[in-house]
Amino acid sequence: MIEQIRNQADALKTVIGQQPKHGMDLLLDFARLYGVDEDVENEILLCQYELNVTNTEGGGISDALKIKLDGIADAIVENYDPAKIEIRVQKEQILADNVRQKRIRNDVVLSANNIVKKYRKSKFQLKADNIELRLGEITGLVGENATGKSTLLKILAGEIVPQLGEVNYPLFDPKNQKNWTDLKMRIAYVPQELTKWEGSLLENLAFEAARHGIKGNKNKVAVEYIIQRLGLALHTDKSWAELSGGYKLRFALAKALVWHPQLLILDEPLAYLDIKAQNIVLSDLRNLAKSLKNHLAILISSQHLHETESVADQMWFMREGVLENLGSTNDFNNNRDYNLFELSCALPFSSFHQELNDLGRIKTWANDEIYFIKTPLSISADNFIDYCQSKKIKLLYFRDISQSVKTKFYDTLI
Amino acid sequence: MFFEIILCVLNLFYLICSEVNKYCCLTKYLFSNLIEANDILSRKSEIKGYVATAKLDLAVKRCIDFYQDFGIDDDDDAVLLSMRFHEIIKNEKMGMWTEDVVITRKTQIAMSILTMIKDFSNLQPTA
Repeated sequence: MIEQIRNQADALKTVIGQQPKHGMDLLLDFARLYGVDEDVENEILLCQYELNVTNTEGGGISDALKIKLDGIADAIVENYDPAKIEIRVQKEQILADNVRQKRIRNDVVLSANNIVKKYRKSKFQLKADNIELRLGEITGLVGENATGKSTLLKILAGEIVPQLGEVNYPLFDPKNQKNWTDLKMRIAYVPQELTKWEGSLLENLAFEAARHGIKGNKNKVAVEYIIQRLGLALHTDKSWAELSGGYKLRFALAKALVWHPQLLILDEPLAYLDIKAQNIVLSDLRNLAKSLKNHLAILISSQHLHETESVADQMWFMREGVLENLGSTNDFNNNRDYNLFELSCALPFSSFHQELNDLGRIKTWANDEIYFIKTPLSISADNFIDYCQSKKIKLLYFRDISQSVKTKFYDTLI
Repeated sequence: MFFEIILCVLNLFYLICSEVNKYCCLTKYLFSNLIEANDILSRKSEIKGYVATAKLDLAVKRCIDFYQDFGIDDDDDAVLLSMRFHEIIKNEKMGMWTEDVVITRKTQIAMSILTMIKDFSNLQPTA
C-alpha cells in the first residue's frame, strides 16, 4: 500500500510541475485521503493562496513553492498511518453528527389573511391573503411598478393599517395584543427612500443598538460585530454626505441588523447597488437569515427578479394590487408542460422566427431586443442551443426561465 | 516513463473517485448557497475554499458566521481577526505599507483563519 501511495505522490509532483493549479487540487484530495491531520491540508491551502496572490503569467509556479509542495507530498507518504487517519475521520464524523442536531427554528414570524387596503382617490385596491413569513427564510416580492409592493410591505411592517384583514406576529405577540410600541421594536423595516442621518455611522449604530436595549459593553460588541460582518470597517467615520448610494443602503442594513431583529423587511434594497454590491448584499442576507444562532425572516421587494430568486426560499408576485403566493422557489412551475427561454441574437425577430421553423410547435414573441421562445418540454435548453448552433444563429444572451417567476410576467402570452 | 506517470495519475484519479462518496463533503469547495447551516464540515470547507482562492474578505465574513453559530457567547476571536484584516486593507489603500508587507500580513490572516477553524473543531465535543 505504502508503495502505491509513494508512486501516487511522485505522479502528483510531476503534475504540479506541469499544471500547478490542477496538481494542487489533486494534492489536496491526496492529503485528505492519506494525511494524518488537518495541518497538511492547511499547508496546501496556503500554497494555493500564495499561487493565487502571486498569480504569475501563464499560471507557472515558483521554485520555492514547488519545493514546498514536493515536501508536503513526501511528508504525507512518510507520516502515513491508517490508524491515525481512521481516528481523524471518525472525529470529524462525530463532530458533524453532533452539530447536525442543531436546527433553525422554523417558527412563523408573521402571518396575514384577507388584507385589503383601498385608496379612494386613485381607486387603487390592494389584496393579500394567506401569507406567512418564517424564521430562516427569505421571501422575494416581485411585480411590475406601481402594483402595490411598497404598500404591502408598509402594512406588514406596521407602518400603515389595512381597512380589512389582520397581520399577526405569533413569535413576538403570541396573545395578539398589538402593542405597536413593543412590536415596532422587533421589526426592522428599511424603506426604499432612506432617511438622512446625522453624525457618523459608528455613532448611529451605537444609538440604534441602545434604542433597542443593548447598552454598555454589549453595545460595543454588537456594533463592532455588525461593522465587521457587513464589511463596513473602512467607512465608520463617514457621514451621510460622504457615502455613495450603495453604502447608504449597506449602512441602513447595518442599522437594521445591529439589534438582531427576527423580522427584516426591505423595500427595493438592490435599487441603488451595482451588480457586485447586489451580490454581496444578497449573499450577506442569505447567510444572516440562515444563521443557526440569530436566524431571521427576511422579506425583500425587488425589480431584480433573477437576483432575488437566487436567494429566496419563497416568492410572492404582485399584479395590479393582488398578491399571489407562488410558494417555494424550488417547486415553482414543476408541473408545467412547456419550457420558456429568453435570449437575444443578432438576427431581426422575423428572421429569427423563420429560422425556428424546423422546431415544430413553438411560440415566439419579442420584448424589444429580448426574444422569448416557448417550446414543448421535449425541447430542453441544451436541445435549443444545439439547434441554434446547427442553424448558425449566434446567441448573444440566453436564459432558461421555465422555472423562474419571470414566467408570471408573460403568462397571458404563454 | 511517460506512460508510467499517466498510469499513476489515472490510478490516483480512480482512487480519489472511489473515495468520493466517503468524503464528498470535503472533496470540492462548497459555497454558502448550497450549504445547510448545521453542516459544519461543509462550512469549514467553504471557508477553506475562500482562503485557497484568495477571497479573504469572504473567508473572514464566513469565519465570523462560523463563530457566531458554533462558538460560545463571549468568543469574539473572529471579529478581532476581521478588525486586523480591515486594518491591513486600510493601510494598503492609504499606501502606508509596501506590497511585501501587505502580502505578508494577509498571508498571516489566511493562516489565522485556517488555524482558527481547525482549533475550533478540535475544541468541540466529539463524544
